Amino acid sequence: MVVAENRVQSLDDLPPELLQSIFGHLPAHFCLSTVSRVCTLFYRLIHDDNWWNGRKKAVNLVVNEREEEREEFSLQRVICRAEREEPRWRRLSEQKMYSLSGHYGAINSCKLYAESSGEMRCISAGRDRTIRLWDLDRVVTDAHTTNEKEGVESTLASLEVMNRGEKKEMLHSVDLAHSGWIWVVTRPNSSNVTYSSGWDNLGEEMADHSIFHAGNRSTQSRICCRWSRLDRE
Amino acid sequence: RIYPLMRVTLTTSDGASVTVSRQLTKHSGFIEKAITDMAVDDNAVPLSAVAVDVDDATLKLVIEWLTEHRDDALPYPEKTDEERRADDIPAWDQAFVQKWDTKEDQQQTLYAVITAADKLDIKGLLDMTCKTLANKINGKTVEEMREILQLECDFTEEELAEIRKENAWCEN
Repeated sequence: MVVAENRVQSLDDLPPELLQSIFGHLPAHFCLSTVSRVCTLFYRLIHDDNWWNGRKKAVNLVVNEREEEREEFSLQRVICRAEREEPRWRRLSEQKMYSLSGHYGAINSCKLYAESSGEMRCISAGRDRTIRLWDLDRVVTDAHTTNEKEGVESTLASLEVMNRGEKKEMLHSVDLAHSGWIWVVTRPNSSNVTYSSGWDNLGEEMADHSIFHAGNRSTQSRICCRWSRLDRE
Repeated sequence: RIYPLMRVTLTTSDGASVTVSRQLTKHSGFIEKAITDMAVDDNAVPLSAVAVDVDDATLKLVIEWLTEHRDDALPYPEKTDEERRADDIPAWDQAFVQKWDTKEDQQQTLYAVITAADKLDIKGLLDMTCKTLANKINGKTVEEMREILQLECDFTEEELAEIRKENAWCEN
């Protein structure tokens, strides 16, 4: 009997495309940050453009052409982010829905962010000319305790009960922040300043929950552009 | 058309031969193609022989898996986005792979089955074994992975420094 000598002894004897399909089962972020550092072979396989294009198809990623032309554009980064976001939106029916009341006009803009301490926040603004700051962690824990206390099944119903009370989940509110409809609120990452702009041609800067006028800006569109650029930083 | 009673003799790379029913071999794209290429008349010829580039020990494992999965749907469902996850391996398959997990063997049996599944074009088995291997390394550190996979670090210091710089954005 002939002894099989072609038996695979080590992982790097496997055909490269098989290794790539094994890596395909791992999160893109993990492949880049860890797998590519194991050995030069893995590094080459993970830095293969074709492999990334395959992953791009797998997450159904559509990238704006203009976006792709930007010098700092990195498909790898975009895919890492898409993979992280994707599970959150995948099964909407399984997600819990919370309703908060605090605005009496249409909401035009909201910004979700995490404080440096990790607490989740939401800033919302709209046509009622008010800006609200919400404590999202509180929303979740309060909904749970109310549920337990009253044995209410529906999260939505229980939150309405809660909202009639003290509104602890609303951390801060600025009534009449603008004298016109508010179009945009934003808060650049790693900054404690919130910017808002509205139809009153004013841009507002709000730092540490106190508000002051940033001065008159000539046109509203310019302000909006600026905010979205800040947002990206 | 599949004739489940038809039998196929497989000759392994180390000279052994095994006869199995067509019900099993229909899951192997390679064997199916070999049979059709030989233009066997489905009605007349009950037996055919195919040489496979897989050793006897590995082929036995492949047949064990095929026997369990003989009723799996064909063609193997295309991977969709949701199926890219690796935590959906059926219990029987998990136990099947677990048996190979011995110290002396390391991952060699697993590599051998992966290679065999690739050569024989058995998509379900290939997918399952690739996921198994992916699960073994998921979440591990670089050093742990080198140990599990028995790989040497062949980067130069300069290259490592370069990678660290390039990875700065994705470090946790």
